[in-house]
Amino acid sequence: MRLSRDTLLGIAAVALAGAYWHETTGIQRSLLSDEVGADGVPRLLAAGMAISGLALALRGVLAPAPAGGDELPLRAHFRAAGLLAILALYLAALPVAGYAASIAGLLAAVAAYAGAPRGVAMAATAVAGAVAFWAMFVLLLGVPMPRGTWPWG
Amino acid sequence: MGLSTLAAALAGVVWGIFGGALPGISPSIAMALLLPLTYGMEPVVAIVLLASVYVGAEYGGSIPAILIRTPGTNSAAATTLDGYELARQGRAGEALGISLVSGLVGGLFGLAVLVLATEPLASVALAFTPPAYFALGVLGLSVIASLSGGSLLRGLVGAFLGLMVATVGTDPVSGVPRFTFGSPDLLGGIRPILVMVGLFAVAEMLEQVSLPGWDKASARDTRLRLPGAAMWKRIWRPQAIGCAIGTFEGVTPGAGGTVAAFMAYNEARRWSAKPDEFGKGSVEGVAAPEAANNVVTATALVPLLSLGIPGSNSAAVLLGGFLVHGLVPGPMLFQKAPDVVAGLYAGLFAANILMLLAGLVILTPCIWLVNRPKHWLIAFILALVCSGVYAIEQSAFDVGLVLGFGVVGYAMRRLGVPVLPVVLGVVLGFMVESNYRRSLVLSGGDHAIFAEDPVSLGLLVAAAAMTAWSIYREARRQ
Repeated sequence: MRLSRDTLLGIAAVALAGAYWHETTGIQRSLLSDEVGADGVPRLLAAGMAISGLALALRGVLAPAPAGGDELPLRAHFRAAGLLAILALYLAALPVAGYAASIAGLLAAVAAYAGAPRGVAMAATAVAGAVAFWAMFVLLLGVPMPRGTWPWG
Repeated sequence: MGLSTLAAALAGVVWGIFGGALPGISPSIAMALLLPLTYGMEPVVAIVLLASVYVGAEYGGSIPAILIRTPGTNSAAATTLDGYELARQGRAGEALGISLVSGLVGGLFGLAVLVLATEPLASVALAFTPPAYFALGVLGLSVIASLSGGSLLRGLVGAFLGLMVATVGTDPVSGVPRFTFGSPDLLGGIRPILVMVGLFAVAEMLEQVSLPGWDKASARDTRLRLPGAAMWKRIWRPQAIGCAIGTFEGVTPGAGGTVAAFMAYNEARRWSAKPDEFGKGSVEGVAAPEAANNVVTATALVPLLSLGIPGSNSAAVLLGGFLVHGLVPGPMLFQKAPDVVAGLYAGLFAANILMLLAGLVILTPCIWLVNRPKHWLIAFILALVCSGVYAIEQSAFDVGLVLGFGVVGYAMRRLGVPVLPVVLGVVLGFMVESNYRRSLVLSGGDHAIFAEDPVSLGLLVAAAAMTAWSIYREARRQ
C-alpha cells in the first residue's frame, strides 16, 4: 500500500515531536529559571507538532488528497543526493585543499554533474570562476578563507 | 543619501533584474544569496541593497515571461498571458517598455503608501508591554493560516518546525543550553539567515539539477521601447487598478505579488474598453500585473517595519538582513535606528528610478545570462552560497547547517510543506517565548495578564479571528 503524502508527513512530524520531547528531558534545571522553565515551551511545541502530525496522518488515511507538493521521479532524488555528496566533499576538502582549490573543484564537479561537457573549456571556466570568487572574498572583502595544508601554505 | 547607499541601490537593482530574469531564482532567493555578503556593510547600505534586489527582481521576472513565456518569478506569471503574445507579434520591446514603466509607477506608488502608513502604525505599537509583544508574535504566527497554500495542518507542521529551530541554543531566561548536543557551535542558536539560505537557495538548486533547462531567448525584436503619450492613455487605468490591488494585497500578510498580479489582470480586463484583446496581446494585460507586483515590493514592508511581521518570503529575507545587523524591525526601529528607516525609504526611491535607467541598458546582458547553460548557473550559485555563508563567521559548521536546511527544504517541497511558516517560526520564536515567560514572571505565573492588557487582548482576539477565518475558508474549499 502506498502511503499518501499527508500520512508520510504526519508520521515524520510525530517522530520528530517524539525525538524533540525526548531531548527536552535532558535540559538542565537552573536556579535562575522561571516558572515555565527552559523545557516548558519546547514541550508545548512537541505536543503541538505531535497533534498536527496525528491529524495529518489521520487525514491522509481517511481522505487521501493529492494537494500540495510536487511529484518528482525517484531518479531526481538520487540526482539531488549526488549533488549533496559533492557539496559534502567540498566541505571536507576545504581545510585540506584550501579555499581556492576547493571552490575550483566544486565549480567543475557541480557543472560536470549537472551536464556540462567535460574538457579544457570546462576546466578553464572553473579555474576562472575560482579566481573570481577568491578575488571577491579574499582580496575585496578581506575574509580569511582557509589556505589549506599545502607545503607552501 | 550617501554615495555608498546609492551604489548599493544600483547594485541591488542590477542583481535583482539578473536574478529575476533567471527562471527558478525568485526574488527571495536572489536576496538570500546576497544576505551573507552584507555582514561587513553599514546597516543602511545592506538593507537598501537587499530591498533594491526585491525591486529589480520584479521587473527582471517579466523579461523571460515576455520573451520565452517562462516567468522568471512567480509574480510575473500573469505577465506571460499577454506579454508573450505581444512578443509573438514582434512587439516584445513595447511589452518590455510597458512592463518597465508600469513597474516604476507601481514601485513609487507603493513607496508613498509605505512612508505614509508605516510610522503611524509603528507609533501605536510603541506602547507595547511584554504581554502585548507576546500577542504580537502570536498574531504574526496566525498569519501561517493564510500562508499554508491550502493546508493549515501542513502550515502548522512547518511553523512548529521553525519554532523548534528557534529553541536551539541558550535559553533566553535561565541561560542553560538546549538542543545543542554538546556542540559549542550551537550555543548561540541557529541564525535565521542560515535557515533561509538553505530553505530557499540550496533546496532550489537540489531540485533544479534534475529539471530540464529552460528555453533560449532571442535577441531579435527586443530593443526596449518606452510608451509614448498615446500608449500612456491606454495604460494609466490598468496601472491604477494594479496600484490599488497591489496596495491591499501587499499589506495583507501572505497574499503577495502573485495574487496581486493575477487579481489586477482580472480587474483590468473587467474594466477595459477592449476586454477581448486580453490573452491575445493586450498592453493593458501587461501594465496591470506589472504595476501590481511592484507595488507589493514596497507595501509588503508595511507589516514588517511597523510590527516586525514579515508577510512574504522576500520580506522575511529582508528581516534576516535587519537581524544580521542587530536591528529588530518593529515599533522600536523608528526610535533606535531612524536613519536606517529613512535610508531605506530613500534607497527604495533611488532603486525605482535606477530600475528605469538600468532596465534600458541591461536587456542585452540579461538575455545573455538567461541563455547561459544551466549547469554553470547551478555551479556558480552553489559556490556563492558556500563562500558567502562561510564568510559570515568563517565557520564550515554553518555551511554544513545550510546544506542540512537545504535537504529539509527539498523534503518540504516534496511533502507540500510551505516554507514561509518555517521562516516565521524561526524569526518569531524567540520573541514569542521570551515575552511569554517575561509576562508570567511579571504576573507571578498568572495567565490572566494576557487578557488584562488591552493591547494584548486585542491582538490575541485578532489572531484568533484570523485563524478562524482561515480554517473556515479551508473547510469551505474542501
